[in-house]
Amino acid sequence: MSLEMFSVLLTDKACGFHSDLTLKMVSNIPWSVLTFAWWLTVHSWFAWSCPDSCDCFRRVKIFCTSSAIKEVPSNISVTVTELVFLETHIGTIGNTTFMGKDRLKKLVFISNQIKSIDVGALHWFPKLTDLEITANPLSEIHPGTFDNLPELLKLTVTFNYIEELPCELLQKTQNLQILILQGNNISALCSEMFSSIKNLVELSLDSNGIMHLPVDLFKPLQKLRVLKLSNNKLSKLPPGIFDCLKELSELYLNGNGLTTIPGHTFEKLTSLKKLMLMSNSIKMLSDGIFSALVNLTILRLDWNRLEYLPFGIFNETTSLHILSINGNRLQAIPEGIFSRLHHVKKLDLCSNLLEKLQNSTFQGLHSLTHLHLDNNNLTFIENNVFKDLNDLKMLTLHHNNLTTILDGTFDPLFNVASLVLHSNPWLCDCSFMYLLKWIKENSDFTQVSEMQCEKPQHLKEKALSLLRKQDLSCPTNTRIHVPDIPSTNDQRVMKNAPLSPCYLTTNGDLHLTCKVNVCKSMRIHVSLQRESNTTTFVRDFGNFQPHCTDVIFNITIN
Amino acid sequence: MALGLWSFLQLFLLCEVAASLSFFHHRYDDLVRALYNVQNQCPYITRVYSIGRSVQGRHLYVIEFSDNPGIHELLEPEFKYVGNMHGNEVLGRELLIQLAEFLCEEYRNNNERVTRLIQTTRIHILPSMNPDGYEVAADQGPEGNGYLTGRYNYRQVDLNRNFPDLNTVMYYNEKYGGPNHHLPLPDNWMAQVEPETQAMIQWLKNYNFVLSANLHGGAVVANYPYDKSKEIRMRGFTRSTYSSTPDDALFKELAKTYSYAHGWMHTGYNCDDFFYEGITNGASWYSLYKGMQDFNYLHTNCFEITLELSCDKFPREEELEQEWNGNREALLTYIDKVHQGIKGMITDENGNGIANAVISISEIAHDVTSGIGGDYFRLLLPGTYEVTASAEGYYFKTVSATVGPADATLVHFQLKQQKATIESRFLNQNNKNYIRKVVPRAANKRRSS
Repeated sequence: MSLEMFSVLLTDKACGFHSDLTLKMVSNIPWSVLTFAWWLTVHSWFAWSCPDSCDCFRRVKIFCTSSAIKEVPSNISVTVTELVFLETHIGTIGNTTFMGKDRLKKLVFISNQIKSIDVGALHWFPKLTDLEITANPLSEIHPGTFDNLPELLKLTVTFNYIEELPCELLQKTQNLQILILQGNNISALCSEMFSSIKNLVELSLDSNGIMHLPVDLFKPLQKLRVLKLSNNKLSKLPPGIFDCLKELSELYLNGNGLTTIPGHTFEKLTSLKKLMLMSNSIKMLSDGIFSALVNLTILRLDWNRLEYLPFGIFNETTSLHILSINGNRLQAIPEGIFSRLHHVKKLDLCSNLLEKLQNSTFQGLHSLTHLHLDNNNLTFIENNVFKDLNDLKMLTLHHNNLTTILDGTFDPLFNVASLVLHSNPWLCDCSFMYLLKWIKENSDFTQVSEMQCEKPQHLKEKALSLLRKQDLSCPTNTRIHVPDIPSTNDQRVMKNAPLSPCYLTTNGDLHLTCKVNVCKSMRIHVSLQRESNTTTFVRDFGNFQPHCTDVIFNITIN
Repeated sequence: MALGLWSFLQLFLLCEVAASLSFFHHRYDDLVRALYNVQNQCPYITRVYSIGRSVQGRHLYVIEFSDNPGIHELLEPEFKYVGNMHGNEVLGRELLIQLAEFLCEEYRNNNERVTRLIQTTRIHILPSMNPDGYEVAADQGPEGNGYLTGRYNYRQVDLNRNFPDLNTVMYYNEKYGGPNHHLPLPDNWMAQVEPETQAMIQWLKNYNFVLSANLHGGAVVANYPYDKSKEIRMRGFTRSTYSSTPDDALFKELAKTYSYAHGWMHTGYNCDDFFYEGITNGASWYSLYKGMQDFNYLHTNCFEITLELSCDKFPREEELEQEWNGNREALLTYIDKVHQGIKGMITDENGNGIANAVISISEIAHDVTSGIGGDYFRLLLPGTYEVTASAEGYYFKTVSATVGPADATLVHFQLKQQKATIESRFLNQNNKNYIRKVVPRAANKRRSS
């Protein structure tokens, strides 16, 4: 075999291209050197083997996912760049376990049995960028464990049993950008814990037992964009704790025991887009608490104990897209409180104690598509309340105390695609005509199947889907002249006097119930007109002086 | 003016993107880590399991959401999403990872809708059915990704052309009579299919799935069965013609559910193409042979549609958040659809569930069967139907049932045992063969007019 022929063969096998070029280059190299090179190539190819119970990809990525693995395999190639141990029974990582694996970039342990990591165990990786230790029974990390990882960008130590972090643990990982410490038992942090990791972009301390935050803890983190502090035991926030986080875009504080939030807490967070304050015990918020958050798009205050909202609280948060105050104790919404929130698409006010909606309540919410008002105590909705909500797609009003919907209330909802109204004590009398007509015309998206009448008695529990127009008895044939009714809040009483207008029962009884304020005397005049005959009945009622009083009278004709 | 508006929009998009760190392309290890992370965050409602391995040995990981993970609760329907069957069509993979993270986070946030969904449904999510192909596509990345790079599995097989062809049998049965559901597999099916396909078929056998969607890319449309044209091939070329299943109206509604809940699919104008209402019958678009969607319908109780979700098969990372926002509502609403129709228990006189009983709907020539515990699920559009339950060795029973727009109507059947015949006395009640050996209702013969 000639030298030329051999070298062609060799280069073809090793690289598979540029054989001409290589041929020229190698023809000058002595035979012995070439043989050695060939031996090296072939030998390393055959000597390389994938550890038992592991999967290897392109000789650089190794996945070990078997409970048969009790310790880190000894024959892991030095060429490996990614190493994942998943659901193995590895219990410890010793100082020399990874000796020589200096090309490693990613090292992941998930759901193993690791109880201890020696101080020097991870000191072999000058190129490591991504380290994860998740769901291991690891209770302690020694100081210095991460000291020799200059390139580390992402460190994930989650769902272990770690209670304490050494103060100087992160002193040498100066390039760190993402630090996830979720789901441990950390109860306190040193004030200088993060002093060296100035490039941090995301920090999660979610689901630990942290009770206090040192005031200066976040001071070095001027590039931080995401901060997750949910599900800890933070009953209060130190003043100024977030003041240096000028780039912060998302802040999660759900599920802590917060009762109040100092008024200036968020005043430097002008970049904030998402603020989550759910499941705390917040009773009140100060007027200007959100005034710096001009870029805020999502604000969730669900499951707190808010009893009222200060009037100007949303004046500056004009970028809001989603506002959710579900599950609080709000009894009323100050007029015009949302009037600057032109971009809000979703407003959730479910499960509060709201009693009425006024015409000005939702003024200005021109972009609103989802409005949730279910599970309140609503008894009354003014008829122009939805006039700005022309884009509304979904409206929920179920589980309230609504008896009727005033004429024209739903007329501005051109685009509504889902309307939920069940579980209200509907009064199916003449005033119900508007809603019944509207429901019939829009039955394709109104969930009518569960709706039923509560009153009058003869229609109780009648399904709305079976209700006909003629079932709604109206007082139009009954003229009631009431001379002088003092002003009252209910406009329907003003006009018509009847407390509950007339309706004809199925067995032919006519009931009329009225409430009027009578000052001198009262005459009730009933005339029954049948074909050309008119029967008249007149009855005078006695002297009501000296005081004007409310009188309720019932007339039954059968 | 237009320029100003455009730059404003771009600025807006940039801001949205800058806010998020969780939208990135997940390589195999990132995918595994993301699923295990969700499992650790929501340990009481999730389970991660593998249904098998790819050619190169990557696991096909599934994350399950249920109030009792790992257990089929009677009358609680099983739902699945499958992504990334074509390795280079990656949006489905990313959306399903987002969905898993979203379900977990919203459950933790007491989101009423998500909580109810998880309490009433068992949801299985397989973000990648072709992890080998994905790695090939991801090596090339979004820029200049060839139309086919990474589409196939490691052995260069298109997995969506790799399932046993049951359409031919079905179309024959429609003409000449024969079973209309659970068509049998050829004896040597395992030798015919790829490991990924085999894992999928085994998965379909192990779980009584009711509803499913298979997430693809390259267009924006919801595609429903049949995929294979009923027209006979002419000179090796199959014409595109609408090929409807007996459940055509239902499938259309399912497809529309997705397209209308999606940000822009329903508009119909996407990727320089037009689909009315954003939906299409598979065969009327282009005929496809040995696909997974038709296989689900013809071999199992599962109704599957194929969702094409992005013009770019491999979108840039910056586009992922916007895609998620456009798909999130649709992904949730589509899962809700698993509760439409009727469901119930098929029991014997002692109240024991009867497995593999056949539930037939008059006018719809596609039966479904009951699961191991005797529960069945039949997706139906609102209306009134005559429902018949039958099982070998029992007298059949027919009732009338009305389906509403919301939750499934409960229709239980208690079947009376037939008098023992000489033949059946020899058969053991517990013998699986005995239970399986149900004579299916004949498919409606197609009328020749």
